[in-house]
Amino acid sequence: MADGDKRILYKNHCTPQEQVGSTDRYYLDSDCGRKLTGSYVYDLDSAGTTVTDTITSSGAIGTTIDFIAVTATSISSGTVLISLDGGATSIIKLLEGECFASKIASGAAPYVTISGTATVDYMTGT
Amino acid sequence: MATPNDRRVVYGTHVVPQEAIVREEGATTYKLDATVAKRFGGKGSVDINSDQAVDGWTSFLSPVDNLWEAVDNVWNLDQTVWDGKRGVTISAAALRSDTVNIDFLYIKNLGSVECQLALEGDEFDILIPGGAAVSMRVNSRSSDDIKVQTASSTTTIEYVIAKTP
Repeated sequence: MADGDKRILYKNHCTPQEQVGSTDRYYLDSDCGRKLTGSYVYDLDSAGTTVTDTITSSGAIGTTIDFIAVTATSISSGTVLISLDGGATSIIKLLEGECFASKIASGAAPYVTISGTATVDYMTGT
Repeated sequence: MATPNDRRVVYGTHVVPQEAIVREEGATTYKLDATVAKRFGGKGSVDINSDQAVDGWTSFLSPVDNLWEAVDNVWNLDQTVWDGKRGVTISAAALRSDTVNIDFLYIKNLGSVECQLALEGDEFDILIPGGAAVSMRVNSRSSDDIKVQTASSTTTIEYVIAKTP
């Protein structure tokens, strides 16, 4: 690592839960048995760049990028959807306060569709 | 075990962009990336079907249905060890054995070879390096559209692929 070189730490985790009776509390799902988590440090090379922006209408969020993180900061109405093929097919949905982050293939074309009134923050890494 | 009254998945994501600082003595430390200048993250709760129908909705159970009498060869003749891991090869394979709408997906790569994930056709656009995981609220994709593969060699994953209520 040289001075100024960039890297991105990201973690995704989930906790499946089940409620046995309608008035019971939720417990760890017995089909999984534990909380699940994974993390990774993505080192961008010396020419690596990061970009961030806030959008309120649908649009592409970069081309030939290697990493995306998209957060639905606020949703007053409508939906926030993410596509990786330029908007043709939305495969991921975000509710308010949710975030999607992952390495993506260089041929992917991330696109956020906002229908209604919403604010979306994103960052990309290349 | 009987089907529970309800099921849900609480999930979260954290992202920290950083840039290196090489100290006078040669040691490298990191600070928050000045370009992005903030962390990213979020959390949510996804309601999923209380009856997931097949045990293979997580990698921690048998990949076949629990109706053992319907698959005698699996339960009576074949020897299979269910260790909570699912193998991934260069051949694209669906994670679930049935065809249902999916609302939540989590995959962690337990190996060292990068895993590729498609949620549509053969568009393997999501990459999961060794040790990394992805979690997402899926926008009503069919389970047979959700496939994994590697570019070369093999790896293992653990997963949760949960169908719509």
